[in-house]
Amino acid sequence: MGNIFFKISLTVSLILPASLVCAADVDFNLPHTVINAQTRNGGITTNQSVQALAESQTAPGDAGLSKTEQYFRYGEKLFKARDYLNALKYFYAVTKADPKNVKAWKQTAFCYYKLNKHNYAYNAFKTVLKYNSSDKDALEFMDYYKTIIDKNTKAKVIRQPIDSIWRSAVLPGFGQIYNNQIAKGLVVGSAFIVAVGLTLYDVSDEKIKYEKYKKANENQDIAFKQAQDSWTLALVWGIIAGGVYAAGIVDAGLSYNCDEVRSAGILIKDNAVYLAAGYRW
Amino acid sequence: MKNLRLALLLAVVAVFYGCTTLNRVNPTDPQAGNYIGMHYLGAIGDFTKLEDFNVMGDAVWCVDSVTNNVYKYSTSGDLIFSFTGGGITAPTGICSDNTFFYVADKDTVYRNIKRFDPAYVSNTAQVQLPNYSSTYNFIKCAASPLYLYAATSTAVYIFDTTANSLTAASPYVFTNISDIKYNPGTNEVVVADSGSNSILIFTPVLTNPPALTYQRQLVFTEGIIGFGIKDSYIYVPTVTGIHQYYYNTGVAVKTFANFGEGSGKISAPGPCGIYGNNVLVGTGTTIKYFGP
Repeated sequence: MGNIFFKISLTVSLILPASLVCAADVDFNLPHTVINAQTRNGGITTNQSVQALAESQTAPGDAGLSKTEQYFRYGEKLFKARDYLNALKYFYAVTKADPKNVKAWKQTAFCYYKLNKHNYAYNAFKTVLKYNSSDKDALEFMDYYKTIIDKNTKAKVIRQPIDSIWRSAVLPGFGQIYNNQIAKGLVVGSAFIVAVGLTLYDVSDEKIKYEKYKKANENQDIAFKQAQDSWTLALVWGIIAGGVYAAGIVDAGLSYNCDEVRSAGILIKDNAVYLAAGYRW
Repeated sequence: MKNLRLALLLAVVAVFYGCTTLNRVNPTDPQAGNYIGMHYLGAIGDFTKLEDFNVMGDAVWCVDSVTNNVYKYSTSGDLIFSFTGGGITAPTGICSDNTFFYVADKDTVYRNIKRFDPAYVSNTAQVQLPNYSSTYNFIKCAASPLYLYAATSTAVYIFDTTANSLTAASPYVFTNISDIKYNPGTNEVVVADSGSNSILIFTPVLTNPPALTYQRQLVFTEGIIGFGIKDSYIYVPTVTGIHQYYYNTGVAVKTFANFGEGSGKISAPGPCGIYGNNVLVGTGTTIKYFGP
């Protein structure tokens, strides 16, 4: 059997639900340089640039505040204005200057959340809890993320061959479809339906011809041979249907944890999320 | 698991149902265990109105009262030749003594039986019995080596074929004669009377003049026309098939050609003949052929 494997790559920010589902597979302990890299589209890549941006945002009432307080305030203003990307820069700058600033970490996490960068949001909330393990917002978000992670992990753990086997037994091809081998499932299902259809047709044809033979008072040999031919055809198609049925069950059982099963849906690899579709024989 | 078991059970049932072997159970099928012993083999000829036929050697001689033709068919169904004329008008009976064949017809001029030599057959009869105009309307005939038994609808007359003379008439009066045959095995003359649905058996008394002595009769509840004799059996076609009886006792042996759908069924009485172990029955437009 050959392997054909397609992957369609999408950035994580484009698909919120998918990225949520896949949070369990992400390594959240990313260096902060990654964050800087993420913000290059805004044209500001260093702390110096953040400072320049802060100066442009300076207001008369900010004169007596420390630099981190000013940055935090600017960040809040931008957050309220829904400019999450720029707000993130100020909050991040505050965490850089004061790594134990829980408020700044929390706001950073909110910004990531709003930007649909849930893996970074998760990491930021984790940092919040590191410094304040009773932070209500962080705990709620972590619960939310953990629920998804647990669900995903649990789903993977309970997958057994019998899940695919009984589905194939009930409806040939269903097991393969359950294994995300859609094309194979459709082929197996169609082949089974065609074989069963032809079997039933030939059984019916054989019954008609056999009845005709039983009533014939001439050319009995020909009539009997016709009935016998239909019987043979019915048997052949029945064996094919049985073979497809049995092979479908065995294949579904063997492929219950194949590449397609693991790769179908969302694949997270190298800090990127992929919408993947598997196709294998 | 419940679904799996149910599916497997259904599959097994389906396979067993589909795998039921086919048995040959048709009573007209020679390879079936319940084979009745005779079955349809085919048909001979295509007639407008077949009146009578006679098997002579490997040939079947037939007469058609609409086309006025005499036909010679092989027993395999091939037409060898046919002829008309020769004074034959609306032939109704044909018989043979294994040397010659004789044709009875509704010729109202000579009212006689015409004899033909099958080796030199033409549309001219070699001999006419009698060789003068009679007053009888012969419709059927049967031949023994020395005598010809010619039947009108109510009486049987005996010809001395050597002297070519009408020698005697049976004293028995029939209602409506439909067939007459000579049984060489028992030296008896057998007459079918469709008027009384009976077959009457006579012994020729070859005194001078010869006569027919009544022996016995078989009476039927269904209409009859013709019959065939083979060894100790007599075959009679009726609306319910071909019935086989013991010739001497009239006890029924079996019935065939009464089963199923197709050409291998006899549903009306008609002329009947025997070729080897085969029974031939005329249906008006063809001759159906049955064999073991």
